[in-house]
Order: sequence, then C-alpha cells, then structure tokens
Amino acid sequence: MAKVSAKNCVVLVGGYVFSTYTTQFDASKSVDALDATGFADGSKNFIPGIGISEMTLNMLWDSTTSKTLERMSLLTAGSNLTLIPEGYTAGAKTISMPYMQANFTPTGSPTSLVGIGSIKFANYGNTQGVEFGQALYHGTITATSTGTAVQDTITPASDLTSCAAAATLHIWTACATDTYAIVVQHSSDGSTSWSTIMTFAATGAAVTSERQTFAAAALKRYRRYLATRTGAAGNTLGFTVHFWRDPTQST
Amino acid sequence: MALATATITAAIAGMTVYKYGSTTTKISIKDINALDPHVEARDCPILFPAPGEWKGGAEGAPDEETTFGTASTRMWTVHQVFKYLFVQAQAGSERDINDYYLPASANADSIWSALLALDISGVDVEGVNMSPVGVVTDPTGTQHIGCFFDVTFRERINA
Repeated sequence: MAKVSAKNCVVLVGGYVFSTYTTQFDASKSVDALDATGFADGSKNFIPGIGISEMTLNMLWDSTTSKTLERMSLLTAGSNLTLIPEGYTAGAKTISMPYMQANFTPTGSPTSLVGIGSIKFANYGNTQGVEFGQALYHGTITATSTGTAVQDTITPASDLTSCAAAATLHIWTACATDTYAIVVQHSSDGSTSWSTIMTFAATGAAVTSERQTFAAAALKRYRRYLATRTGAAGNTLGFTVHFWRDPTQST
Repeated sequence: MALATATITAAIAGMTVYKYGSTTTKISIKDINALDPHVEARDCPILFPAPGEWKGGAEGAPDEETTFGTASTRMWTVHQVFKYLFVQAQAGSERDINDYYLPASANADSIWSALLALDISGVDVEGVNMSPVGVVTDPTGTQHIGCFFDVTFRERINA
C-alpha cells in the first residue's frame, strides 16, 4: 500500500490557488442515521437520512490583492473548493465540493503567524456534496491543448450504461486577450471517438470556478479536457479540471 | 526560498549594547566575517560568533513544513541555534572575581535584552540560553571571564 504525504496537496478555492496559504484540510461526508427501531427488532435499527457534506481549511492571512484576506472575507456562496491531496498528476485523486462559506475567523498570537482561522465550507445547491474524483488537468497552457486521457479508476473501470457525472473548472491564471473554449470529452479506448459531454461557460478571461453536470446517460471510461484557443497572443491560461462520476454505478 | 542566516548575524552585529556604567561606549559585537580567534584585553568586552560551533547542529534542519503546494513555494518553519561567546575581560586582568562579576553580569543582561528586541523580517527570536558567567576559553586557549549565548531563531521560508 502506497502511503502518501499531503505536502504537495493542491488547494483551489473559487479559482484561486491557496495551497501555500493552507495548513490543514478536512473533508467530511456523512449521513444522518434515522432511528427506525420497532418492537421486536433484535437491535436498534437505523435507516439513512439525508447526506451532510462539509470541508474545513485552516488558512494563513495575506492582505495583498487577491489573497486570503480579500477573498475569504467575502463569505462567498456558490463557488467551488477542490483539493488534489497527493499533488497533481493526470488522474490524481481529487476532493471537490460546491460550497457556501460559513465563517471567517482571523486569529493571531504573539508567537504565530496571523491566520484566518478554521474556515468552514458547507455544501451548496442540490448536489452530491463532497465529490471524490480525478484530476484531468492542473497546469498552464498558451495555445489550444488536448489533455491526457484519464481512465476511470473506480472498479470496474468500464463504459457505463447510465451514470451521472460532474466536472469543476478553476481558472487561476486568466488571459489578457486570448479566450478559450474548455470542454470535457469521453472515449471508450482513450484514443479515438472522443465526444464532448460537458462545456464550460468560463472563457479564461477572468479568475473563476465553475461546475458543470452530466445527467445520467452512457458514460465512457476515458475522459480528457480540450481547450481551444481563440486569439493569437499566446497568453498563459492556468486552470484545473476535476472530474467526478457517480461511484455507485458499476455497469 | 532561503534561510536568513546572514541577515540574522548582521542584525546581531548591528545591536547597540552599551557597556556597564556607560551610555556612550558600546560593547563590541562581531559579525560572522569577524570571528575572533584570539581576544585581546583591549577588545573587551566583546560578543562574537563562537568559532567552530557558531551554527547549531541538529536544530539547524527544517523541522516542520506548514503549508501545502509545490516544494519550492510551500511555507517552512525552520529552527536554528547560533552560539555566541561573550568575553568581559581576560582572566587575571583584575585583582579578583568581584571586579569582573558585576560588569560581566550587567553586560550579559544588556545583551540578553538586545537579543530579545531583535526585529528581523520573517525571523523570530525563539529562545535565549545563557551559560553561567565564569571562566571561558577562546580558540587559542586563553582564559577569559564571560559566557556563551545560545540563541534560537524561528525562520519562516516563503511566508
């Protein structure tokens, strides 16, 4: 069993890379246990209630533009938080959730850095909560780019007849003049017959994050991103794509 | 991404510490490029990096990383110990210990106070450990009245 340090973890909050401002992360996905014990039951009997998802980051204070003080004091709702706990490689495991930020708690002591405390992120919207998925990309490009084919690693890793999915895009370095059309594609063999299953609205013109969904339908086992440039300036686009599919589907 | 050893030693060398009983004459404080292998009577009192053992050993290694990210950009906390030798006067230059002890201890107190007040960007003075004031030996074997200061610094890299 490979044991991995979290030291290379990538932390993305609403399109901002805050890895070096984050000292700890916690992700929690749980479900209420509803007591359904009746007479004559052999022991207490529970049925699952509604799911609960939340994530927590301990973060450091930085008062410069677009850093933690400015961004995290907004108490944003409707943005996205994505972690790549082992650091990025194509297909690396990810943890992601659309969030509403529930608190902002600056802290300090004479012997420590100024912190912004333990920031709690609660699930936002009618979603699956914390998504455990894979990274399709985390890096920069300057021209039209096609991502590496990433194979589904949930057993069995095969084409699925009906499976819901979602993808989250973080744009962390925006382009000055070029724009990009960024989509997620799937394929059965990882090399041919790629087709688009999700299209992001973000063009790379601004730092942002966005989540797109794929309603339950045939889902092929390989996925990749395709970023098509409009313009010729060759601006740098920094972005990350997280992909999740319903892990309960196996056929 | 770098440790601030040179900045720290320069800051220590730049401290203003007046001799016992004076408000104008300062204790001589040396930087790392001015190690003093042999202390002359006219140099005293003097504080300088302890030759051969100035930079601490095990404590000099990074012992904690505190944020996530790529290796070159993540934040580290590093603890380092620097050893300084304070010499009040050559042993035998006065009639008895009473002639050394008050000025030596008063000067040591002033050095301690100055060390605690060091204000270096990205660096905290974490602790100061002073050895008993008594007979110390310089690298040439000459005996003096003085003491050692072990100063522990906490440095934040990429903070």
